[in-house]
Amino acid sequence: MAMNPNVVREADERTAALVHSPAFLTVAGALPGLYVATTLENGVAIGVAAAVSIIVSAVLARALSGVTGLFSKAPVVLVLDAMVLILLGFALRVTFPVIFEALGIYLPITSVAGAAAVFAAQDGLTTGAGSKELTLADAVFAAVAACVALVVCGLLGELLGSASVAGVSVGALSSYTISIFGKPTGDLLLLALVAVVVQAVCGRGKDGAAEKEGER
Amino acid sequence: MPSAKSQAAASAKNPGWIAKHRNGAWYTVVLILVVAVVAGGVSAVAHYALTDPFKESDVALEEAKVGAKRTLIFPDSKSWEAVSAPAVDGLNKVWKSDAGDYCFDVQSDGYHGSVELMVGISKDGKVAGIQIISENETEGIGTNALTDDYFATYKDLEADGTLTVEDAQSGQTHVDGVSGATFTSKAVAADVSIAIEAYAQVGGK
Repeated sequence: MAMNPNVVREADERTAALVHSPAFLTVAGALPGLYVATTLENGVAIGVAAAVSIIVSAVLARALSGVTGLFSKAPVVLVLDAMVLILLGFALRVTFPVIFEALGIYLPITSVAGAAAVFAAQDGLTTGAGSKELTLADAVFAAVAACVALVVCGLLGELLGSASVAGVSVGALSSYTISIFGKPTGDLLLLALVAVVVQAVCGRGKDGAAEKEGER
Repeated sequence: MPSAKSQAAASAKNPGWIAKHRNGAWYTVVLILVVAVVAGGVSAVAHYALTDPFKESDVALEEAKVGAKRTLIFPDSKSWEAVSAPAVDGLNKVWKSDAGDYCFDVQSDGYHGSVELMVGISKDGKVAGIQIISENETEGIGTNALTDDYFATYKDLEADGTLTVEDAQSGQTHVDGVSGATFTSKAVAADVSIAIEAYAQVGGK
């Protein structure tokens, strides 16, 4: 028996509202690189990689929209994004080999961040006539949010987990390290905190704009 | 003169070949294959072109990793130079500091593969410290014999003869093992013994 189209439409609208939220974009962009964001240096490196991945995916999705179809868009954008990140990894290997060694396989895996952002720009699981491309403004927002999230996770994870910042020991905290940080569990907690802050800040911005419009 | 609107309407009625077929299965498969081959080819060409810079960066990475270990064992040493390693089984590399201390990169078999350690022997002929380079021992069992506390039991031992966790024979010195981590304890003792033998061959005792 076919679903009532109104029920389907409401479900799609709820999905679209979820995946278009700033918190979702932040989490989707930061999650693939979270495992290696264990120190400030690694957080900055993988954050930059995630930002590059998201912006490259947005540009590629637009540029290739005339050539790719419903089922080929995601894999084509993912493969080309992964190629860009592999080349970025080569450059990192030549200039900062220690950081490259620390990031390892997670550098090309971060191309998933870009694919997730492109997916989030569409209406979640519905890729029909209502789907749209990721705008450059949204891509820049997602890139900055993912980069900041990973840098914060790296900084706080290193500070709280090993009482040091960028390898420099913070003597006052050395007796109060929390072992959960610097591990994936602690990083997920930090990412959740960053996502909540992002949602609160962006939500406040939208509420402010609505107040200015006034009642209708 | 046809307007833009009528041209758009005309193209909507008569879409191009790509627009007609881009959601099809064959088009999708061929497009993905072509993109994958192109992306793989570009990555392969770039990797080949950067072979020499990669070799230099690998050397710099290796030096950064072991340099950190040497500094932990001998914090006061200012400079190190690589010394020709004698032909000792399990010995990888030897470095000598400006102060006359030695660091040996050694490895022997543990429970799960190789246990590679950096063993420092001071110019006084005593074991100065041990650092882990790589290991794959069982977490919580074998790794109990790879802790700083266990390594501290080797500190200031005379770099003479061989070490053993079993009953010492002539020419051997007994060291305590870690209960439940016999294989790893034996690997650590073997690594330090290799370093002591190499120290004798490079001009130590």
